[in-house]
Amino acid sequence: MLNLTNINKKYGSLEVLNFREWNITKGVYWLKGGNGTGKSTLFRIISGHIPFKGEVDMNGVNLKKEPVKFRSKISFAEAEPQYPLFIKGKELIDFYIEARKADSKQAAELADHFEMAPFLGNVIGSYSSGMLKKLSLICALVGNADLYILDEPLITIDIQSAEKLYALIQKKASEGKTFLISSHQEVSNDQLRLDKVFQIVNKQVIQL
Amino acid sequence: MLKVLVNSLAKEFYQQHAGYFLMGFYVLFGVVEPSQLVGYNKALLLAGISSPAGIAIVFVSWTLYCSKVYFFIKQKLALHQYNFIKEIGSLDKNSQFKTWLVFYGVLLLPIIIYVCALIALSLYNHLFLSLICILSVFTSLVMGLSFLSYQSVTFGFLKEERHQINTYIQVQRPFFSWPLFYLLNDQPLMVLMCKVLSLVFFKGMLLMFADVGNDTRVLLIALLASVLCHVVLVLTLLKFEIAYLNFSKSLPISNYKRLLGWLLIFTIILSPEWMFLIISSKFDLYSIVNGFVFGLAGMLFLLTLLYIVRLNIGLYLKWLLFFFFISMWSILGHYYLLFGLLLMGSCVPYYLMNFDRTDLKVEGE
Repeated sequence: MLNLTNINKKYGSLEVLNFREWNITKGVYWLKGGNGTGKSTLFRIISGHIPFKGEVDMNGVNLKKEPVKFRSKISFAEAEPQYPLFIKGKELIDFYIEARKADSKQAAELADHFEMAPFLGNVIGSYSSGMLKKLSLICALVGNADLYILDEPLITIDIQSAEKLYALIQKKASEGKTFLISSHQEVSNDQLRLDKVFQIVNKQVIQL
Repeated sequence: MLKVLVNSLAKEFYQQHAGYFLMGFYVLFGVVEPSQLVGYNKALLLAGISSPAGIAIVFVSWTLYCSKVYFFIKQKLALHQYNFIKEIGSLDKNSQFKTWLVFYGVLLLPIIIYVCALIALSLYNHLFLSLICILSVFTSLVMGLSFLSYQSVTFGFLKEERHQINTYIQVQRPFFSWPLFYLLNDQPLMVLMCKVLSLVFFKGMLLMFADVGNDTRVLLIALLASVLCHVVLVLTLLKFEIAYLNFSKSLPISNYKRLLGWLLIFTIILSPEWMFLIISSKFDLYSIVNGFVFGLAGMLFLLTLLYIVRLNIGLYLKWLLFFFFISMWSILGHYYLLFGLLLMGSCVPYYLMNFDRTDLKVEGE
């Protein structure tokens, strides 16, 4: 499904990632690792956020050759999302609906699921960090992507919201969707059925 | 502390306002033959002290410059990354005031040079009333700026937060327009100053070349001055995109659409200049079309250049200087249409090819 080959990423002279191959098929995957190991960099590479050396393919679609088509197949929620503070939550979701050609009913259901519906008429600048995180998760889950990349989805959200997120991931995974999740917190199989656990060690992605 | 202020804020001020200084330099030294340069500048200075109208123009220009300085510093002090400057608040009143005075002295250096020349000329010509006016207005401006900064740093925490005005008008703002709303919401004074200066420069250029008559080249020089006044604005817009719209990079939006968004933004931002252009050209279609091509190409160049130099402001300034001279040469040599099209024809493919290949978020950090 997702194939990464000959990946090399440097920030100036600092090399963060350097590996020959990493592949995943359908499933739910957890990427472990401490600060600065390259988890977010790997996610930002796959989501087309940053330039890199190497190739990223998903179901035969190459990120560099067909960036728009590739991006329509993936969805990315950043660890620390930043949105314009004067925009209302609803405006942001509507933009995602338009960009992903999604159904507004699905967005409304997601907003209800995360108990965010009453706040969507407010400007993002008035949101707490937890609300902002939930908004970013709603935006990421809108549409019909094949691969969902969630960078630290558990930080700043409460236990109930985390459980709701697990339930949603499980439901979507049963529909054939793939999830790539990074988290500092331990994710046990009781909370979420994980297919594989990876870790970045010495610039390489290894399976644990 | 003064060293930090100069190295951070003053340096950034001069870098960001290079466009204005470039135009000022051109007006003072570039519009006349080298042999007439001394006479021309002497006449300009004398005009500024010999009549009440001349003095008024000089003082209004200084006030405009000081307002620009004030709003720039105010905007920077409101940012998180400049919180360290608030440490000045722990100094005693006199030390704080002295620090701000010297700091504003550095920022007002272009005016100070002018003040010295005016003082010398006033003494030489026995215009003592003008001399008193010059000294008192300039002193008031520097003292006023220092006092405002002292107040802001020491007593800023007592100020009530500005609340957003809810107009209760539900309008769906298209994505491309978000940077414009950012300017209107968060930087209204900066936009106002930019537009006022742009229009002053535009009109100033037309007046300067009034003897040439109805010539497309005069309109394009005026438009070039206006475009250069937008250097800070374009940088602000790009910084907003990098900080707050970065999330859209993972969405299926083509680079063509992103570029079209920028062109729409520039078209809207330059609306007052377009109006001036149309009226000043006396509705001459050839001049209007040339103005549109040149204006849009110039603005797009300012944006593309920031990508080319990876937000390295030092390099940016060197390129701006080059852009200014090559633009002037092409306008005066009647190559403006070709130049505008070439500029547009180079910036468009550069942006399309390099948007995904450049990570300005990292470069800017």
